[in-house]
Amino acid sequence: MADVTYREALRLALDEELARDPNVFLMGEEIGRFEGSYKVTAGLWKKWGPKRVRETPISEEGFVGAGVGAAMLGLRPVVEIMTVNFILVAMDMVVNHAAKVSQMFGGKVKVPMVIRTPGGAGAQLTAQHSQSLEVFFAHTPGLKVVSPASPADAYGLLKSAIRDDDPVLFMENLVLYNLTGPLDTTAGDGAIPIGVAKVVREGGDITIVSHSYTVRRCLTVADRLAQSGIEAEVIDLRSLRPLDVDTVIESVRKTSRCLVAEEGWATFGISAEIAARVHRACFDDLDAPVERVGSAEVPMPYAKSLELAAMPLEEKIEAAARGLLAECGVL
Amino acid sequence: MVLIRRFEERTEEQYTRARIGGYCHLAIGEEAATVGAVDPLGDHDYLFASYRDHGTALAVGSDPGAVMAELFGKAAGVAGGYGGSMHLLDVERRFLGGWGIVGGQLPIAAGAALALDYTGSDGAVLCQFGDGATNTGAFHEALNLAAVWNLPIIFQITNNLYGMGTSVAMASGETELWKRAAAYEMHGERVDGNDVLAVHEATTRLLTMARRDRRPSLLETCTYRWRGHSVADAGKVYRSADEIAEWRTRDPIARFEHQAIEAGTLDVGDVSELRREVDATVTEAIKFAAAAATPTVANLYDNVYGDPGTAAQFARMDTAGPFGERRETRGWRT
Amino acid sequence: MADELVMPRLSDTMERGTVARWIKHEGDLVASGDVVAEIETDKATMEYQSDLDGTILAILVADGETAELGAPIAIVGEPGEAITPRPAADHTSVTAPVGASSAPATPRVTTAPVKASPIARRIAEESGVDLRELAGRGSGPDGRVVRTDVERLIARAGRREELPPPRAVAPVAPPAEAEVVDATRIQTVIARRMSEAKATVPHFYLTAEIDMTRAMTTRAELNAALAATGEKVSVNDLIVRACGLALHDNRQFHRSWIGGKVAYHPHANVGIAVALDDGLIVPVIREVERKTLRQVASEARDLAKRARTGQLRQPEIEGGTFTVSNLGMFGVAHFAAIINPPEPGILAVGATIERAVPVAGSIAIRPIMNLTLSADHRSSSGADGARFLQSVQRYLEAPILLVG
Repeated sequence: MADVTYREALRLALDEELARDPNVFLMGEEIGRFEGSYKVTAGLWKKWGPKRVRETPISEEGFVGAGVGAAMLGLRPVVEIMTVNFILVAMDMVVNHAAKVSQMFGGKVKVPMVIRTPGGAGAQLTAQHSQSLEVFFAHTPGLKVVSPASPADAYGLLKSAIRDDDPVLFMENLVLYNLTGPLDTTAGDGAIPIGVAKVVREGGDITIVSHSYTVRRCLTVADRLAQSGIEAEVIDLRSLRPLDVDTVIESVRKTSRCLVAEEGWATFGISAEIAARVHRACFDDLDAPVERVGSAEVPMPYAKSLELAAMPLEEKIEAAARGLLAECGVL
Repeated sequence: MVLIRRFEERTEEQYTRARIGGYCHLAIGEEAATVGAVDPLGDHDYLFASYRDHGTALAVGSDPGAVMAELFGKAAGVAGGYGGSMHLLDVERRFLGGWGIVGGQLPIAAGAALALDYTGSDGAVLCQFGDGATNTGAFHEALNLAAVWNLPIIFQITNNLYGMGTSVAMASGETELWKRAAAYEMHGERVDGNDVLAVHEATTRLLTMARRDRRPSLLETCTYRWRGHSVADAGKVYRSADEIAEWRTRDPIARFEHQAIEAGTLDVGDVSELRREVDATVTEAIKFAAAAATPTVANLYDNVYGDPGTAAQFARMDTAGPFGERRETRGWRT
Repeated sequence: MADELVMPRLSDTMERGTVARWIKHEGDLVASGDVVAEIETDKATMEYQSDLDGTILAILVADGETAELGAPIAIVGEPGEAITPRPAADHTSVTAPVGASSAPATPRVTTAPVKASPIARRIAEESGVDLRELAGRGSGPDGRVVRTDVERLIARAGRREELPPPRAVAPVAPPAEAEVVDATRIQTVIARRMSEAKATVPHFYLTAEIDMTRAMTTRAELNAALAATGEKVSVNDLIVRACGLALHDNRQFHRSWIGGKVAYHPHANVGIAVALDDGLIVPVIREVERKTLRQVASEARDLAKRARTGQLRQPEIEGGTFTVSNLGMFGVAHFAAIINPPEPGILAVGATIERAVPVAGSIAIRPIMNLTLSADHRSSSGADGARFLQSVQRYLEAPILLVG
């Protein structure tokens, strides 16, 4: 089992899906000759040609819409939006069109489309390029949203997303691309079902729920807590819509404490949703209210010191965990 | 055209009787622009329309009963009662929808054309929209994509002079909308949208251009809507009675009737027979729609997703869901 | 002697008034002139200023309730004082349930529902444990009973069956004769914060003896010179100023351990612990290193005065980077104080006592003061603390530096 980067895992999944199904094609800005703004599609244009790897103008509304239309006719477009921030000019196509087609037309047409796009902060890209907007899509019926945190999940979930008959928002994170992890391509084709969370670390003292890169931070926090004799259970949601609440609930029933961390803003965020559901399902199991950590509720500032202060880094997550544990008379 | 006219008149009446809800946009006066463009479409061609789509559905050959049932919100409607007036479609006839956001269907239609190109089909796409859509970003993005990708598509502007209550003169820097094609090195032309034969001729020619030469085009068909923007708009505050009266004298149906009788292809008797048939058809459609079953509430969640595996995926989401549909009950401890 | 606050006449046509809301609450200190409540009259909502000094022992007419003019609405007196107010029911009209309006005349024994986390409740219920045993003494916020509390109780109960009951360990029930009252908010806060501080901050202690001869002389000279202005400088002011300068000089001590990081403080914000009748509050003098001794003295006097009358604003009790606690006036020779986290330390000041000390080979009588520094061993080492304490000593023994 070889270690690959998250970027390589995505590329491999794209390459294999292009080979598997002639209806699969890629579309996006700079994904061809330029090899992708973040080099996810490097080499694919050369290998598959301009028809399967279609370069687009800077025209998000146009080519996301074109993806919807092509999907309605049975193709399986995989649209890359350079970063999630640019999807906002195509929100009409995503929310008003892609998400609505199947139901609005009485189930007579489908939109088997994937939109891949990275979010996240931490590289001083400032307010307009440092956002985590998963929640906009996770809020919307008709869309599916996945946000893998490891190369293996990126590989497996991208395959499932491409084969899915519905529009899937595939949310990546800039910081994840260079991250490595094991990928076993020998057993089966590696597709991982959408809508199933994963317990990435077991523990009985506190449940820490997160997704995307924040899972990594939570694992670090769990290691630090272990030094204080606290065993944290870390859950990677992997899919945000559909959301696997059962895995979270099962864990919280065991630990009776729950912390949710996300890189987006916590207000009306993923953590708000998890907290609401945990409070309802686990009310009698809780030892303290669910605690949440998100980005500071400001547009991301440029200066490194300010950026670090705004992000939900390990220190903040750890402090929240310790605070929650202290509230429960532990630590 | 006669069917569309009668269907729309009776739709207005049924709306007034509160059997039709929501928005309801009538196309009375625009029949020639619709029919003249839809008629030349072949077996591999696709059609997209705006929310003023009743006429398009009938023109493409959808069953008037199923269309009326959709307006009535019935399960037997063309979209099962999930779409309503603005979201008619007929997949078998490759009519991929009435769309509710001004300009929104243009990029999607371009995508359909892309798919035809991708699969090597000899089909083309006709995308209809109003003059108002030409000022949206989606219009320009779609035209540009069609141009740079050489897509087989006709963008048809049904220019009825008003986007709701705003005239083309007030809304557009260039009021000859067909000229906008020049910005994309695209063929553009304008025809009399009340002359069904002229529209038919132009569309046929442009379809060939799309199919054979892989050249997209912009076709402006100039017409007039006799009614307001929707049934809720009397259509009189932003335009004069004289203007409306003037356009009524250019009735596309009367004009074609005259042309056909002149040419000897129809006689007066044919016309009255046709009108009787159409009356009966529309009355039948209304009867059918009225008698049809309403969708069952149990089907509320149907079709939100098309993938067969989705039900299982979402079953896991129901626990402690916002509406508690399948909320787990722990039972009371005593 | 307890006295009553009564429903005031706030307008010429007013016959009864409604307490819109209490601004001061049971346990709060009030001084004559303080706004204690807002009263709705027939015309408007007006502020009600207390005409009494003391602690609010009981509120008789709760928020939203109505009383006749002159009816008692609260009892003010010394904490712990027995009170027998006139029954308020005579005067209160029933806009609220009678049970609620006849607020308890004597402070209550806790009968309120026990505050406990849901899982604690569940485990207690399943194990037949009476949560009231733990009421108000849980490890959670404000004494919330949490899972570990119940689990410990159960574990202890299990042991009790095997071993003779160790009385001291048994749940602490108050002796029958004790008068049990609800803790005030401030008591609860102090209890929680001090427990947390002592349990989580690793304290170490350093004591120094300071020869206060020159400090006393300087202070006397200064006060003589300032006599005309009415200003006065206390020993404590000298110490606060000395600490401010010493903190500024010792960056390696003047830093806090916060969530695994070390925060260096740019300014010496020195808190002065002020004893209240029943409690403690620590107003903060900001940027002491930049202020003159006279500024420090006048600010300290103002803060202390307002602390005792409950007039401090929230910002005035926040942001301290060090605390000075002085029990010298009680004749205490020396003591060790508990750090107020995340401050790096607290200085406990004992009384200045004349003692025989060797000076230049002979015995002299000198005023000697003991200073004990409690320091957080996470943010500073013993040597860091010692250097800081040495600086304080240097400033106090060469007080000209404090004035300069």
